[in-house]
Amino acid sequence: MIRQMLVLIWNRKRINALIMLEITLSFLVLFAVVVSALYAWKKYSTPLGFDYRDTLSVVLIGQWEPHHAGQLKRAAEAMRTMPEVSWCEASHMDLFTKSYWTTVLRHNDKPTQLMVNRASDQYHQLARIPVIDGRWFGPQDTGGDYEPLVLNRRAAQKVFGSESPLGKVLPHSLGKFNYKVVGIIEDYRQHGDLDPLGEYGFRRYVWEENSDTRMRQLMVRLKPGTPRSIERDMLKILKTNLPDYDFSISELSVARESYMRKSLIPLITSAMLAVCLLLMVAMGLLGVLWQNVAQRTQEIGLRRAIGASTTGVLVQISGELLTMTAFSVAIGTFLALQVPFTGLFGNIEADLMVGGITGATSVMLVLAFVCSVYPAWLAMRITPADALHYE
Amino acid sequence: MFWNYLKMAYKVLLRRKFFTFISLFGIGFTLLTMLVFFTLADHVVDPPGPSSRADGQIILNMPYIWLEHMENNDVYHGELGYYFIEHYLYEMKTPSGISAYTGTRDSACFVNDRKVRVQLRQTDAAYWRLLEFDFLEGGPLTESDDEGDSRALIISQYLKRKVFGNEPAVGKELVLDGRAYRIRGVVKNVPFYDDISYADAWQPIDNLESANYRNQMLGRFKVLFMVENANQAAAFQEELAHLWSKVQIPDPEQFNFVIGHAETPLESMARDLLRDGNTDDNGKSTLVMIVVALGVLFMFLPAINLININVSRIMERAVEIGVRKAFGASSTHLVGQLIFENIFLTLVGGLLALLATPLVLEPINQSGLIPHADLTMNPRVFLGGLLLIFLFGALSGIYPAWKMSRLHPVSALKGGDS
Amino acid sequence: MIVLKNIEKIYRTETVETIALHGIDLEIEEGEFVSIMGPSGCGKSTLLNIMGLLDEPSAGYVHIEGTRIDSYSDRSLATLRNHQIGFVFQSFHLIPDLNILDNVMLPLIYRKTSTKERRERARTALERVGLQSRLHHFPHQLSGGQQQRVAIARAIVGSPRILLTDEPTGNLDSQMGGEIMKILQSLKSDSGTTVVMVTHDEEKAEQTDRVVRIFDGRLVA
Repeated sequence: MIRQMLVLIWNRKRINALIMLEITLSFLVLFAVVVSALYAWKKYSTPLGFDYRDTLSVVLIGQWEPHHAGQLKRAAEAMRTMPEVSWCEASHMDLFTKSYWTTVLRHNDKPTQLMVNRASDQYHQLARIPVIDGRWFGPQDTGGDYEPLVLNRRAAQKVFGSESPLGKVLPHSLGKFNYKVVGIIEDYRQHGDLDPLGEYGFRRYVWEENSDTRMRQLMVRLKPGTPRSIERDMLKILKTNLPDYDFSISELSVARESYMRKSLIPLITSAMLAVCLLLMVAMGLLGVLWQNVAQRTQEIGLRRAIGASTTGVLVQISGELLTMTAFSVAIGTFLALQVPFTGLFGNIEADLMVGGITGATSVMLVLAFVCSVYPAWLAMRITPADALHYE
Repeated sequence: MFWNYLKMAYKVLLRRKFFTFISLFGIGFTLLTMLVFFTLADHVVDPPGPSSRADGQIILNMPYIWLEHMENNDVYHGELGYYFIEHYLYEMKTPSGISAYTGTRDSACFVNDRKVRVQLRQTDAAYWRLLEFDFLEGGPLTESDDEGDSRALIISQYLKRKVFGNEPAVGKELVLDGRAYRIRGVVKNVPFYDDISYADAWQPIDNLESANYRNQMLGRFKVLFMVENANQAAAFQEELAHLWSKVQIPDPEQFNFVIGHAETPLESMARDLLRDGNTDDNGKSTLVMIVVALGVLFMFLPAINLININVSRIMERAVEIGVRKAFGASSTHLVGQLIFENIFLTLVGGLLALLATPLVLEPINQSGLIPHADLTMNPRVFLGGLLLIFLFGALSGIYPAWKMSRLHPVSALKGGDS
Repeated sequence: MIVLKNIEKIYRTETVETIALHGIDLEIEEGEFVSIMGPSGCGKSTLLNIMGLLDEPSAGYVHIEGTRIDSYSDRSLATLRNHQIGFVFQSFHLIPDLNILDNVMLPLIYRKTSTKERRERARTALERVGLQSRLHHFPHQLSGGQQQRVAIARAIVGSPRILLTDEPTGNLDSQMGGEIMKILQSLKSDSGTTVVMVTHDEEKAEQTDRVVRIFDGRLVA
């Protein structure tokens, strides 16, 4: 049975080669889309590394002067006295935007680029950042001959490999001071849920009266259910304490949502294109098979006459396409497995490869089966008599 | 000959209804999909709205800058501060217009206690000269709004309808995030894909109580430049390239070099999608190549479909070919006939697709999937579509035609099992 | 009219060499009605195909109206076939997608003629075979004998000097077969067309001017 099927496929090799080319190409397109979608899903389902809910960002608009540091400190203290406010801390970088700040750390002469941020002593509590090893920086770091540094898991691995990072000292690239790693946090992603995991580090912001270190943002965590009208009272407090500034207040959850909407556009567009493409391929396969059945009425009638059952005919018609699909999928899988070696798309993780190949394979097989159902049903209804009438 | 081909094609197609249907559906659907995405891409790359200038002037956008420390490799990437814009970019000689504006942010107003989301953007007066908005009521922001604490607001037709219904809106008050504004003008809706113009409401950048924002190197602004033509654009890029080394950065300990890029929407998008930061090459050609490659692939698959169907029809038509050869048709005749049949079929399919495209675009516009989308087929897309159709017809006709013409007449007459 | 000189036809596959025709010398006069007879597989159809320039001999020459055919280029053969030769096949081979009139007009579309003239000539040809009333029918709507008459009309519409027929009555009952034979006879006598007919029907062969017999690829006297 199978041998005969292969013989039939081989005898029509030219046209079957085209069909297989088509299936292989669709497989590859599908593979790309599935991998991208899985990758996005994987990133999305990985914890963000912080909790954005009920949090307001207050961006300071104005020119930093050293004495503003004291004002900022008092503003934060005053905010904390508000009954609706659970935490108020300083953090330099915007969340859910395209901004970034990167630096290079050197350990044993090996450079590692990572994104950095500067935040105050309780920021990890405000943002509910899980500290997995060591500690967040705090008052015990004041007056030391180092600047404390908190790295995320990925950064610690990248910089130190298997060594224990805690207590390690890293020189600042211009030799002005040394960093000391005091804690490791879960992977923290400033840009949002759909961004890849990256290396990230926090430097300490010290609440002082005078400081050259400019801070551009206060973060405020509110008790759940606080209405936005609180912003008016907050503005009053801010304005009293920081008279040289204006403030732009926004909700992190809103920022996250619009970031998501923008990031998903390319994925949604390509998924829609892929669906259209599959529909087209399905149409083509259906057509070819249909025509095939019409042409082979005689052959099929003959098979029925010599005793093939209707199931036998069904298996033969669907079987041929499914066999070809299996071959094409095998070729496609082989090609897909080469993709990581090209290095064009970076390092595609093994589970994504497996997911992409499985996903694309099952869709193609289901598609092939669905496309063959109707022609196979037509073929099943052919009787030996039809075959004789055909001439 | 031509007339005969046409007649023959018409007859074959009419008699082979199943084949015709499958082919027409395949071709029509492919071309429809291509045309819809082509239209979308066309609107994203060059939105026919405020940012497309009728008189050939070019708008270039600088959405971000990069601050770098050349020695320790620290990089800071963010939007521009007004200080930098005022002291360096406004001093530039080559552009015929410069405007500072911000990205949109989520804001809200309340209509009968129902929250209406408003995408709010801040702009200077120059913005309204550089971009060509259609005013339905009132007028743009003016230079005096750049000065004091102006509470003027321009709103879109959509927001006006939501808040004021059919009443005129100019002069009325609208409260956004608890602050009251007076409406200066109402403009036609701007689609979401017009990245530099899109918003529901526009307010002056000086809408804050003080001028503190004027002192920042980094801030929340983006900058538009207008140049008259390609020559001036080149001169402008030249001047911009020389500008960066002259910038005095307030805190040179931390960062000692700044750079940015003034680009068209397509270039900005390519940089956004493909380039991770401040490279000299914005990735535009790579993006165009990727899109073209995808387009070719996209057309290739249905072309294979058509080839498949045509090739499997050769068996069916073998006798016809044999007869034609016996009665004096040369290979050229046969190739001509089949390609003609194919192009004819493609033309019909393409025509259907061209007719159906507006029927697909309209629901997309209405659905709100893309806020304020106004997708219409323009002549450029139409001509591109026609080209596609011919390409498609030829592409899917050549192989089967060649194969068909190579059939030996004797074996063709026996049924084509060569 | 047709002269075949020492024609060989050998079919080669990877393993076997089959000799279909072996040293055939044959002359057919202008206006002659010749039948070629022989058992199945003796090479008679191959011989007809070679005469009709549908197939190329492995060795030897074909002369048509005194011209030796030595350039087997696609285009020149196409023109020759179109102007000099008409074919009638055992299973009619009408094009199912075209109606009777269009089927008959087929050879004329590969010539420079006006549509009007083509129509006229096709009508005349159909009249000659007695089918003037069925112009707009499709082949499957006609009986076998009618289809074969259409095929003859198609073969003569371009006024060829030579008519090659391969078992024209093979798929027909004896009455219809008789009618077809009558038409072929009248073509010979009315317009002096040279007719060559492959058949294995002894009775039909006897109605022709000369019978050529082939056995195992060789002429038998």
